[in-house]
Amino acid sequence: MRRQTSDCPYSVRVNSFNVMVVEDDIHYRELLKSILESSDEISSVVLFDSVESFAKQKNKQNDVVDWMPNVLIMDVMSSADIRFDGASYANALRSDGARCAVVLISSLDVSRVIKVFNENNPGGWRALQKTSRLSSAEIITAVIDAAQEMQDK
Amino acid sequence: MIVLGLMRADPENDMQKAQVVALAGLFYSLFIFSLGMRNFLRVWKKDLKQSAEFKVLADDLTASQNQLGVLDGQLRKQIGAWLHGTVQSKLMKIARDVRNLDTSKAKEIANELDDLAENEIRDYSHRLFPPTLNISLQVGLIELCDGLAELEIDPSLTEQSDSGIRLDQSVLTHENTNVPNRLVLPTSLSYAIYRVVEEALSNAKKKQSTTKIMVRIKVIGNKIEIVVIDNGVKLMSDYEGGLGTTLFAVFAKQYGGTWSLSNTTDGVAFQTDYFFEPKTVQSELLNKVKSRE
Repeated sequence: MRRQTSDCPYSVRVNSFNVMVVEDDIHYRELLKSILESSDEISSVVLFDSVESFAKQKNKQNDVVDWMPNVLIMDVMSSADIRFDGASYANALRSDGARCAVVLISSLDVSRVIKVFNENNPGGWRALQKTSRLSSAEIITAVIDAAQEMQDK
Repeated sequence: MIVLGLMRADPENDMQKAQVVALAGLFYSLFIFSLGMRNFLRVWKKDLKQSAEFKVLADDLTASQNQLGVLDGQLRKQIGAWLHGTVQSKLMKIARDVRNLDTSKAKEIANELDDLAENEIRDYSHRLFPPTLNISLQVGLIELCDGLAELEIDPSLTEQSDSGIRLDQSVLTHENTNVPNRLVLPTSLSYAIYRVVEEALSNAKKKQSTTKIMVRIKVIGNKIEIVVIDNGVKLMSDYEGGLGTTLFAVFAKQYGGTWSLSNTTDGVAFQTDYFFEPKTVQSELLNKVKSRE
């Protein structure tokens, strides 16, 4: 797939990805939305404020496989119940056949978590660490790389 | 009174006197014996009562200790999650806003805020509760053992086990018999396991002769067995232990288990076991769903 940039009027849109974001921090959720929507390679962005609200919406679907996004951006600690974390939930969905890439986002360094999940469900995993230095480009690149990796599987 | 009465009945007769004296002695002995018995019974009853009271107090103490352990784990986890989830996020947002002011002073302040969020708060929250334990014991131990020890963990505690979460339904019954159901450990137990492994690893690492460390976590029914083996120099015969061994003892007591530190043919083995009530993630999720219905 050719990368398209918004400042290139003649670029051809070969592929686009839909993204769902699970993030309990409203500021970061909105920030992610504005960053993701600025990319031409991302066709839609749907926001959820917790793992529970994502699961609730998912369970209402008749065709879950079709409903699932190309990329799920999951905040590791975005469950209302601290016994269940977003990372394990995303991994469980992948184990049950979900074909979506997962970008884990956390103030923690979750690179080792990705290593464990990659052994279980290879490919399509990325990790982003929340810092004020995290740039829009890094976020978009992680999302698109994960989506492409999943698509190429 | 009885004795005096008998003596007055026939004072001339020696035989009768002797009988009276014997009877008096007998009565006196019985009286003393009954007093002794009464006293003995009173003391015995008091002892029994005290024993029962002590037992109640000891049970209360154990229950309180266990409750404190549970609360300690939960509180650590909640404060750690708050520091990571709320404080760090807010500091990061402020730092981002400040950075966007795009002046050198603003960038300097943003860097300071980042340093506070990424280093100081992270370190503190890690000491409170290792954040990777929020994901799973396996992930926490992988991080802990990384580059130090080989980790072997029970399949029911790994990310490869079946959590019961399904793509097309919130929860289904266990279908895949080849995959074990995932156990959910109480926060305080995960924390205890992490801390004792950390301590045992630290002890093994301290020995320059150690070249190999093995950590093994095994679930046997309602018992979790934790073993840390190293090939370093053996324990001296007069080894008395230190703060670390106190930690082993405290956690073993809390979970009704035992612990030992012993020499093996190649080095030293630390072993401890904790008792718990095995619950699967699936059953916990089902209970959660039922409680909402």
